[in-house]
Amino acid sequence: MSKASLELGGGNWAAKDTKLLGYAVGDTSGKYLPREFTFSRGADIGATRVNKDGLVEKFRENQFTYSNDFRSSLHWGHAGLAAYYGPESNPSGVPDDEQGYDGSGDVSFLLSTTNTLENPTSVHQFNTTTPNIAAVQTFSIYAKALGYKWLVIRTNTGTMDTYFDLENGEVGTEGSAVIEAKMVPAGNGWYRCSVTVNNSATVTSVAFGISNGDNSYNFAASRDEGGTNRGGIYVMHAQWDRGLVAAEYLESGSTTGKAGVLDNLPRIDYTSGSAQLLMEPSRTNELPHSEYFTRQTYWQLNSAGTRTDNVAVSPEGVKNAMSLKSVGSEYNILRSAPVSLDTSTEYVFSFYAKNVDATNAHYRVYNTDASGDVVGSTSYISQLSTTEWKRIEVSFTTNATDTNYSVYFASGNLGGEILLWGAQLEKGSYATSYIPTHGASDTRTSEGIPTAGAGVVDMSSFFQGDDFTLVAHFAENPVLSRDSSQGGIRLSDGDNQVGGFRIYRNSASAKLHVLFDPTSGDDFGYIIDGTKVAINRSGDDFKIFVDGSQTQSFTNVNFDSGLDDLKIWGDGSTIKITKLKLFDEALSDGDMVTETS
Amino acid sequence: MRTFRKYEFGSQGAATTKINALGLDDEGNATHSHSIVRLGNIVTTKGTYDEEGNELTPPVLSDNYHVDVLWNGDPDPDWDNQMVWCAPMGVHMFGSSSAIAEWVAECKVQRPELFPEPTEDEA
Repeated sequence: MSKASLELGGGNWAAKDTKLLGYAVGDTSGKYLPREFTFSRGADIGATRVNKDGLVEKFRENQFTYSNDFRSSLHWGHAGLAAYYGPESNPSGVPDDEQGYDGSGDVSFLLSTTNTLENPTSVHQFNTTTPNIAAVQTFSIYAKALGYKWLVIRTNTGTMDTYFDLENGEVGTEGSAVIEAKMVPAGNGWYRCSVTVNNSATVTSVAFGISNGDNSYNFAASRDEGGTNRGGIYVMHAQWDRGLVAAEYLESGSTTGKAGVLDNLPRIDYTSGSAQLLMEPSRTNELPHSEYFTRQTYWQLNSAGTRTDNVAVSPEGVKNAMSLKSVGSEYNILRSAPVSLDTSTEYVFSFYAKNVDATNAHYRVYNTDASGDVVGSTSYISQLSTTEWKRIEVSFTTNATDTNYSVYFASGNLGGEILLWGAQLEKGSYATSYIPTHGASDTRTSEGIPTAGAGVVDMSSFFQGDDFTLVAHFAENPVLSRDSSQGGIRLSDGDNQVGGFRIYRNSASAKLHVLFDPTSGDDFGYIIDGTKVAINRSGDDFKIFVDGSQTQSFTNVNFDSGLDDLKIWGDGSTIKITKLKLFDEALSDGDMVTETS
Repeated sequence: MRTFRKYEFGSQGAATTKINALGLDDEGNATHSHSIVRLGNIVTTKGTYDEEGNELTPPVLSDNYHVDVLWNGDPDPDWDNQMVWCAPMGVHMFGSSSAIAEWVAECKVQRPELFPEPTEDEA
């Protein structure tokens, strides 16, 4: 096939920053082919995808600035320090030419002043302009002992102070807001020291300090502790993460370091194992804690069970899955605190689960206003595996009067254990991609091309005449009740439905359909029973091919002008596109068959 | 650039009127590019429940109706009278990390008492 076309995907998806990259195929004949499509979502924290490795990938941010330059007094305060040595100021002053856990030479040395005033001795970052507001968050730093053997991580709240024995690799005293404190050997005598907290107050400062012992922050210090000018500790690579774990280190400079599912980055998703452009409607995860299940205020456990955070590797690929274990003869029950939901509305509760050795596992949805089940206790043990994670989905509809509901997990049999991660409760008839929450509900906004407010992508430089062919391959075409009548793939004249056609989810069949909305006359549509669609226009006539066969044609369709404005957006219902092609001509029947086979 | 703001209305109807004024098509779909989340009458005091989930004391809901908006651009000044600022911990927010950071920074300007400054000793 030598026809000129513009293609997105087709095994060659490419996304960079806020752009989705298309490419020309065939004879372009010197025509200008727009290759970059600006994408819009407006959400990063609330958005995830399944990446090429099959892991749920989140947005990541190191919320410290200058995460390895502790020199700058604009970004790091200094208290009780005689000197600071490090890669950005005076590397030669770092004792013993220490090179760090990774051999990078990114090491800093904090040398205590000599004082008898019992001052704090630390570097600290005041984050007063945009203080952190996540409840569950993790502070970490790599550290190694020299003259002093203890590190303390401390915040302004006074409830998170945690001490680390750098000589013996043991965590000392932990503050009351600490969920977990860890020391992970990093090599060459270094440890990654992290403290995960559940925060009830705004964190406006974080300090990494020297201590002369457990639970001893203010002390009479000496710069010569352990030898002349050796009274300090080595540190490098500070990080401030949302959530339960210290993620892979991400360097920050004048702005916070960001990675993963960034704002307005198209989501190329691999849920099915192959690449597809994932576009979804706006959804809210109503559960305030989607991963932190050991907080009784939000996830309430009865006496027949035990639960432990961070015991296994989750679908995210990090160790933040929870163990739920039965210790009694009855089912243990872990239920959410009641969540306020709309009346007479469809919702779906979803979570990731993996079996360890349980012979029973149940879910349940409970109306706490009426004290009765909406979804009775139902076993899902047959869906579970001991080798891979499964996502369980539970749909239900609220009644006309009550607004407070709880969702339940349970595992049966004495000693039976299951692993849980990624709970989600969203309004809609089906579950969408995971929306992580760390203390409050969060919303992933809808997404698509072009950027919000721009309306459409002007393709008039590509379409030289009125004839064209649009080919769209979808990863799937299931029966799904749509959220609204918006969204889909549209070619039109301007940012209007009238005077264009659109592929989107039909209300009655709940499958994809093509709706033609002529300039004059009634609109009409065609249900797509397949996943590979091609629509061509020749004059006023249209043909539709699905999965290798012509399935429909329409003649004398009245469009006053060319349909050269493109819009692709996820409002209304999820669409997963594996390939999209545009041709500046009506393809032959043979080519239509080829394009849809 | 998008801007996140929180709003409070006297009733659901008042909120709906304001939201609809931003633009609707014939099918009731929004014709604007702002994102809106209706929080409704939010819980101001949590209910209490026994071990089986039975309600002991009901949750207390706010009298007012709450709406979060992610504006595509600057906030609509017609909504300013309903704009509210609150302590940022544990409340629904959405949008990019940058948009949320901007809201928190502005919240600190509007309600500095919610953000006590740390002292050197606290650090």
